[in-house]
Amino acid sequence: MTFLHRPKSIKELLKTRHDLPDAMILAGGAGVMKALHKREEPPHDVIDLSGIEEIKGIQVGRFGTWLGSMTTLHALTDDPLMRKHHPCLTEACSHGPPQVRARVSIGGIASGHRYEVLPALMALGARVEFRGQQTPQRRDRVQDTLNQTPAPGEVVVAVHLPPQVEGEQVLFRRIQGGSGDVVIAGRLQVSEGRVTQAALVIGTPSQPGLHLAPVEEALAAGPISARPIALMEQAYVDLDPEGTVSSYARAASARVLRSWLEHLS
Amino acid sequence: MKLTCRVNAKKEVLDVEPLTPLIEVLRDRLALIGAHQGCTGDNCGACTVLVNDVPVYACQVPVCQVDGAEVRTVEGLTSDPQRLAPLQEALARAGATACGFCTPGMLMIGLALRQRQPRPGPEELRELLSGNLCRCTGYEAIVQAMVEVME
Repeated sequence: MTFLHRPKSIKELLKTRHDLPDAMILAGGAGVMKALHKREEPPHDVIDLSGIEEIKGIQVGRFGTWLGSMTTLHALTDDPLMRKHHPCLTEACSHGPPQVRARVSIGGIASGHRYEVLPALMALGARVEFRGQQTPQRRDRVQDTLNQTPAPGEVVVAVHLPPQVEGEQVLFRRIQGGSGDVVIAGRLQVSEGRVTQAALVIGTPSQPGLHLAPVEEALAAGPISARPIALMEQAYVDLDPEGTVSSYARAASARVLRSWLEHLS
Repeated sequence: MKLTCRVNAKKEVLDVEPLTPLIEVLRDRLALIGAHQGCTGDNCGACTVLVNDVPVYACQVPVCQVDGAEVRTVEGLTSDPQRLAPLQEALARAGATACGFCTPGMLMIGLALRQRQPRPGPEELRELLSGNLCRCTGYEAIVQAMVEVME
């Protein structure tokens, strides 16, 4: 028999987590249902997050964007302000079946694996807000939360995006290719024809989000040039020595970067 | 747990285990067998229903999450059981039903997409239908019927 707990606030949630450290968290539902379909024993206690209004919603403001951890990809792509201010992220969230996007929450992505969306969050410099009864409130970069188990009793309450700055250019492309899809997300800050800050992230099913550091350094080293393209090819070899990304996807992503840089220059 | 929801505009009060998949409650408790249980794994889309007008896989929704919600299944597609909905007519005209296993799911995702503004074009439609598989591979006829209805 399963007991369902429905906290109405973050405070109640943290108390419930503290009292029931082994309870399963029910956010979108997919994780719990997958476990049940595998014939795993139903959990004794389940904490349903759907009644906590504090972790729902989207707020776009001058100082950045706040996404409640229960915000679904469906809600995010439907929001006109998100489409206006964060086209890179809404584009990333708009792929895939509507039935999945209706259930997957942004909090689940930030603390889990979703290779279509993570690169966009990483390129935009997103931070994940954790809260716990035993630990002070903290915000971590999205990439720092990958493969990291939250501390006992901790919960993800929101994802924060920094505000857009003048001269910012963003990129999101998904490339479908034989052995696996690749997504590329980028953010450049351009001032007087020079790149002052660069973030370029790729995602594949096996590597959900990786900064292409050599390419970012080459981009941020001066005027916009074609040099980063050659570096990107090499970066793929370094990141993907087993060649899970097809040669087609590599060539296509290099073309994407080239055309983006040509467009910017 | 006891929960209340509306299924095809009818109020239902259920006493269920909270993690029971919605599809099992619909089929086994409410005898609404239109939505099919296919893969039970987030892939085939045969169990697609609308919860508060949003399409979901009923095999992936624990029933506790529809407490207070409005659920619509293929049985609630039309208010008059003697008449077909425009989407059903279009699928029949295009010969898009083949074995019929995917049809309830296709109808429900089609209904959800038809309610969207702006309505999706042919290319977007193919992407949006990617969560509904047809084991007869009759996709061309299905897409053709959907495009007709969206227009």
